[in-house]
Amino acid sequence: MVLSTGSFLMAVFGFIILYGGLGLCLSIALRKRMP
Amino acid sequence: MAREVWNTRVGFILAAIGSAVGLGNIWRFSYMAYENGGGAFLIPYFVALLTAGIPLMILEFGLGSKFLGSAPLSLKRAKKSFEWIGWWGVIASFIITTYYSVIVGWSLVYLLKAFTLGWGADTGAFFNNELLHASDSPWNLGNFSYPVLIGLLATWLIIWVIEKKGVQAGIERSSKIFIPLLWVLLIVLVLRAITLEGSINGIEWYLKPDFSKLTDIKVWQAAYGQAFYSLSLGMAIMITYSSYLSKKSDIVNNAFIVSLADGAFSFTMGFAIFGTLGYMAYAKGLGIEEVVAQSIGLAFVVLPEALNMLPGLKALTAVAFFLCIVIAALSSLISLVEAFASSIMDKFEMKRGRAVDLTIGFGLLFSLIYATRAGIYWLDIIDHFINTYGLIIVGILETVAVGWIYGADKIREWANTYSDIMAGVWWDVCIKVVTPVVLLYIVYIETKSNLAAPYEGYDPAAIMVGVGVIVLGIFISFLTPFINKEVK
Repeated sequence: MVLSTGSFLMAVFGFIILYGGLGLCLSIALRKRMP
Repeated sequence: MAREVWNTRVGFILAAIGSAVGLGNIWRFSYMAYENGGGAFLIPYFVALLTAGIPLMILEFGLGSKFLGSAPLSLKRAKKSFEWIGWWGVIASFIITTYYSVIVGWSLVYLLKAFTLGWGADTGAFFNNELLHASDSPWNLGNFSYPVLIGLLATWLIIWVIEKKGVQAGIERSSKIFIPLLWVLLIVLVLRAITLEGSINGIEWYLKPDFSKLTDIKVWQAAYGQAFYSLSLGMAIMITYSSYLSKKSDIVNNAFIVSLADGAFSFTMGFAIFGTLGYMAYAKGLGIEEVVAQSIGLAFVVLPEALNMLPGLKALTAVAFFLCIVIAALSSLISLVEAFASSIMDKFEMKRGRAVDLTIGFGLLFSLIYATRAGIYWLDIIDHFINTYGLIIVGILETVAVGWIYGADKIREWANTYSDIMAGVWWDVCIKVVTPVVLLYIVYIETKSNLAAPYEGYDPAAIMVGVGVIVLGIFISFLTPFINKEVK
């Protein structure tokens, strides 16, 4: 069995918002440390 | 006395994540999603995170870093009459500390048992009879449960060692070990779960979106509650932790990082929990609704049974799961103890060693009630009332005091001074209107339900004891500001 389309899209949505948002904030924090 | 400071920004962020990521991330979030629209729950959850969780986190980080004091001292420096709000947060934290330490104690026992799956085939009987020796009512305290007592003493010893070493050598160093390890364990558990037969069925139940639920106000209430409780807000912790920041610290981006990491951990853990439950349902030939559980029942009864049934790597998975629980809970417990210790250090010009001894001494003393045979009932009652009338009330008071009286704009300007991401006027609206209104609504609904029937059908006299603890806590928090010895 595979995930239904709705569940798959919600999984992608969750990962993009949470990990994408986290990655964006971390990259901003790290950029500050670059010369 | 010079105030301690974090050695690095990473250290502060990891310690704050360690505080936020606790038992609720493991045993509550995924069940809340399952109960409230599956994947569709993510929408109100993200809205709640953006309009209440993160704004309140910015407020608490802003207060601590601007006024460089524990919660009571920071609030007092904002306005003298606010000090008691800080004390109510500290006392609520202390009450939580007393029973949270017992849950860590149980988890340590389970971690040791995990090497041999020593809970046996009947996991419910092991938890209730062999571990807790649970009596039949809150009034029948009986003796101590000795396994719980030993786990509890071990917990306090670990906390004592870490807290004694201070902010840098204790909290920061332990966080730098605990939090990366926690994420490694999370990945191990997710990988193990998704490779099990039937796990996809469980994950389907976790994420299957039911958008019709978005019109149900209870779903939004659950989302705001989850966002609030999960971030260690209203507990005096984040104000205390941010008071150890240097003046030129980024506030807004740090608040986003900590809040998003907390949400990411919860969301990812849902795959491990529901994947494992999916396997268990498949192996038993049942529907997921017949095996699903949350909270204590999930961690100490249902999942140990699922671990017994794994096709391989049973002990390894069990050790990874309970190590994950122990680390998540320990790092949160450290922050709870620090919030109290820091407050009495500030108030009574006390050295760390003495403040930690006193905090842990009283914490241990009060936690003993939960190591008795009726401990589980008192834990349930006190936890229920402190969440609403402790944390949420403190959250409301903070937003009103800082947002409306001290001035949201002043904290916003301070928070923006060294931040890469700027908080705009949206933040003022969230702090002054959205957050207090939503939190007030939650208190109203909870109070209505509490008045309609005794919580979980407990004896009303036992409920009154729970309410009495809350009233006593508020009374002490009103009186403490009148004790004068204090760091100016």
